[in-house]
Amino acid sequence: MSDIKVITADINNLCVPCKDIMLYSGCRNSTDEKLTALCKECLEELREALTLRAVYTEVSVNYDGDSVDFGFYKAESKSLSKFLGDCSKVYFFAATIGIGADMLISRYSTLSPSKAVITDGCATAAIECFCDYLCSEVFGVPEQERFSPGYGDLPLSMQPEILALLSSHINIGLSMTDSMLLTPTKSVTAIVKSRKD
Amino acid sequence: MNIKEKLGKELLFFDGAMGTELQKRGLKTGELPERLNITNPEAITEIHRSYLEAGSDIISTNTFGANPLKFSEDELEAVINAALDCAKKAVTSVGGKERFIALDIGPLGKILKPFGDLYFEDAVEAFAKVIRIGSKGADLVLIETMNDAYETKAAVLAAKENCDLPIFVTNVYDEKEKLMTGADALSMIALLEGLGVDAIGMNCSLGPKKMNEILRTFAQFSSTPLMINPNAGLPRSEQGKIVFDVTPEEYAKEMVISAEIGASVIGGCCGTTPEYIKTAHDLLKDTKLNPITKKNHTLVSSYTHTVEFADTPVIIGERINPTGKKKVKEALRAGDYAFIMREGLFQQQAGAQVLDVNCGLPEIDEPAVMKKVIEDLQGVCDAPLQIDTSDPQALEKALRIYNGKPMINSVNGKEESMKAVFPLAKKYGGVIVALTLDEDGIPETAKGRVEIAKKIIKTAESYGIDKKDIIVDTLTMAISADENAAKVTLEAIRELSDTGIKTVLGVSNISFGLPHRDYVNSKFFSLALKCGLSSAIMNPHSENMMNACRKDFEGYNSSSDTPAELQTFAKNIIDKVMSMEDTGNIIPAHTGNLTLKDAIISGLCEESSLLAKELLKNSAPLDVVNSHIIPALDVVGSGFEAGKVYLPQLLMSAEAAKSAFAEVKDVLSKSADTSEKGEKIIVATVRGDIHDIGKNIVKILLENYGYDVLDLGKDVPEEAILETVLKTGATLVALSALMTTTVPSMERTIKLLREKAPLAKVTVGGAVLSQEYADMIGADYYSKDAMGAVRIAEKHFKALNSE
Repeated sequence: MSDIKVITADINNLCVPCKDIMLYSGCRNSTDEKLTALCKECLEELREALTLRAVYTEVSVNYDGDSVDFGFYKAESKSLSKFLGDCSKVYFFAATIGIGADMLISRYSTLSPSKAVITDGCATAAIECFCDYLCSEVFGVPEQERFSPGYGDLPLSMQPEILALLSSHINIGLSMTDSMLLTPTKSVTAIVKSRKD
Repeated sequence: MNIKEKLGKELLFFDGAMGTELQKRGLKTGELPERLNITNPEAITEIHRSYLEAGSDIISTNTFGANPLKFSEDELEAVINAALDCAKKAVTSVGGKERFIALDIGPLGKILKPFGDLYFEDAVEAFAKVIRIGSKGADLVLIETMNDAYETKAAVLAAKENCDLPIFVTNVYDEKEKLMTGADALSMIALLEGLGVDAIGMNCSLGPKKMNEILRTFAQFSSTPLMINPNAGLPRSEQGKIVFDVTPEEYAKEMVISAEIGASVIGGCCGTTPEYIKTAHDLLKDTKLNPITKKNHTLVSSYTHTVEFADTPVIIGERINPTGKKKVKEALRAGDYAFIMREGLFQQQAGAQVLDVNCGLPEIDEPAVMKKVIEDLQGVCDAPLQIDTSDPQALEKALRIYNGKPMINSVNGKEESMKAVFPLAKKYGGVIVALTLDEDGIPETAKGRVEIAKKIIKTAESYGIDKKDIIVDTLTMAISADENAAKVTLEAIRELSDTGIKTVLGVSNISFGLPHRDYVNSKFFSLALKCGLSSAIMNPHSENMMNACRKDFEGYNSSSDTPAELQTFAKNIIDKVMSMEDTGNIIPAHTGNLTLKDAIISGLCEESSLLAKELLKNSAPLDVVNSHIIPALDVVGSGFEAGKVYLPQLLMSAEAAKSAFAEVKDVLSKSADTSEKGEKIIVATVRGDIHDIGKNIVKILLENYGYDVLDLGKDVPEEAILETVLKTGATLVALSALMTTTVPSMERTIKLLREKAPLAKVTVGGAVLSQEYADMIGADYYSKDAMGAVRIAEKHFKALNSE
């Protein structure tokens, strides 16, 4: 069993692409100047409210057909098995941009629904960007190469097991509701490939 | 001996880590360490003993994660009792100096509402269960590793209500010196001192050096003994073993500094071992305590920050109050809490630092409404709140669920009032506004008012409430009725200020019955500030008032004479305003050639409001709606449906239309006519789901199209939706769910409505839904977006009206 590591990152060192914000705000491919300006404004304000934290650990995997055994949890999942190939070790990580984003979005839900939608889009783009950073800079895999509970046939019920494995509540303030929604809402748990033997 | 007799008089040593010690002994990740109290009590006792031998005065039970969210009731009891047994055995076996056992309480592992799904009262009850079992065998309660202010408050309340043990509290701060939910050290000091805990401080996660920096803030502001339990830095692997980057010697050196800063209790967290404690203990055992001194900061707090009543006047926004405010009254009656939230946020944007909250209307259930308004407000707004009520029940409900140290408005010199307010203030904490009146009414002299103030302060002290937590209101009376009024009020302010007592006034009463009230208020306010006034309950939207306390305020000088103008203030200002000309409200005309329709289409809020106002001068309200606003909405709506207008643009137009509607409503409310079609729609995000953006979008568009929308919020239980349908007779219910895991709640809601309110139709929406899914769960309608929801409403009410 290897140790659990906590890392933090500064949002100002990450580039959150405007086109992603547009996409998550329901303005795919828009070049409207006013919208672009509003996106920038919302992102600037959001930056102040964010604290990026992640926790991860490395775990050994055993395969038996479509069943993937991580020791602490056994997943029956064709799609996960396919994703992992014959990887013998994986990283489990949980990442969040913090509850400040939820607070800001809820404030704008009261004041201005349009800003709420765009701030929500900014926050989604920010957590995605943070995960991309973790993949490429920390785990050394291509940015999008990660697999989360709820993808394909991997059940969402794996979520509590991952959070417990990583002591995510104590380590990064991440927990979940009874209906398995991550809180803070702009958070991700995922598996990435580590190495083959 | 009680530990309270030693606390703050001699340096006390806590133990170090339990978790990392257990891992060393082979505990695997994923196992609940508390079970070891039963399965391997020898190991637990051995760890305790090693700390006692290292010099610890206090050991904490192995119950960090023992709570009803993780254990069944029976197992919880067994685990806690076994933990106490292990601790007691260790204490008995080492002998020597007197030792104490702390019942260790860690976080529940869930986030509280509104950002999670755990109710505050459920959190209190969960902690209460642990404390009821564990307090019998412990000497103190240790609430530790808390990364949220609200959860900390829940645990402290549970301890206060279920045992008499001393309460020690430590929180976890991050690199920004804040808890994960945003509170800074100062706001935790305010909250915890308000609740009256016995020791406060921090544990875990920044390492001793950085934590000492935060400890300095604690020492500067806290009157309560301080405690520091740092971790041994960050873990790393070395040849398969986990080691920490702070050595016992480095740790011990920092603990010497902690003691110098003013820590009374010293211990360790993750990675510290008996060796760390022993090294610190050996270095410090002959050190004399640097005791914490009493501080006199008047602090109120929210869940993120504090506001101090000090040199700069504090602005308390007065506008959440139905008295004389028709719109607030209507909103409270109708349960339109979104209106109240906006009122709060606008005041904060205008510069209010604290918001007064008054829900006193005879025809509403004030305690219930007060609780709801406080809960909702603190979900969107981080300004500290002032709970303004004369109903003790409403006060207690609000104090209980408030996330911070609030202001309490108010107590007065009557026996009855003090008896009702002080015990609540003592239990929950708060800064209390004291009105200088008593059974004999309001004294006519400054001296009389000062005397009542002193009586109130003295009585408060007998309840254990410090003078610094009382702010005196010497009562502003109308100068139109009594020219002497301003003089008496301000002379009393002056006298109190000179003795260091903080003061507040509701400024606007001064101008009652006079023209140019804002002008009179601001002049009186300026004068009051010169007399030392610390804060005002006022309208932050008034430029004159804001200038008086920000731009023009030069600071209060207690050694200067009472301003001479005070003697003649009333007469001079009445003369002046009686001869001032009424300039009226000039609306700046910067809308150019823009039409209302264009302004709405372009999403320009301010312009839409001005243009609507302009049109309403010569057109009937319904003409403005039908010929200008609705056509604009139609253009944007069909643009959205055709994929030419994006969602945020649709919403910007909706917000612009809303501000135009506000003008229309304003005119209609004066003419008693009504634009409401009386077509009611209930909107809600279903139980278990805390995403509400989609629901809010649907809401604003439905409002734009003239529907009477009742918004029940997010995570709404099935029964609450049914109850509202039955109460209001609404025929259409719009439900939102974002996750596959919450669609079953949607299905249950529909089923319940079918059973008990078969006439109500249900429309559903949300990211995971489809027409097929909607059919499967028995919904009447499905819409893929907000415009779709509007079209469904149109169809629904058209069919209904033609029946």
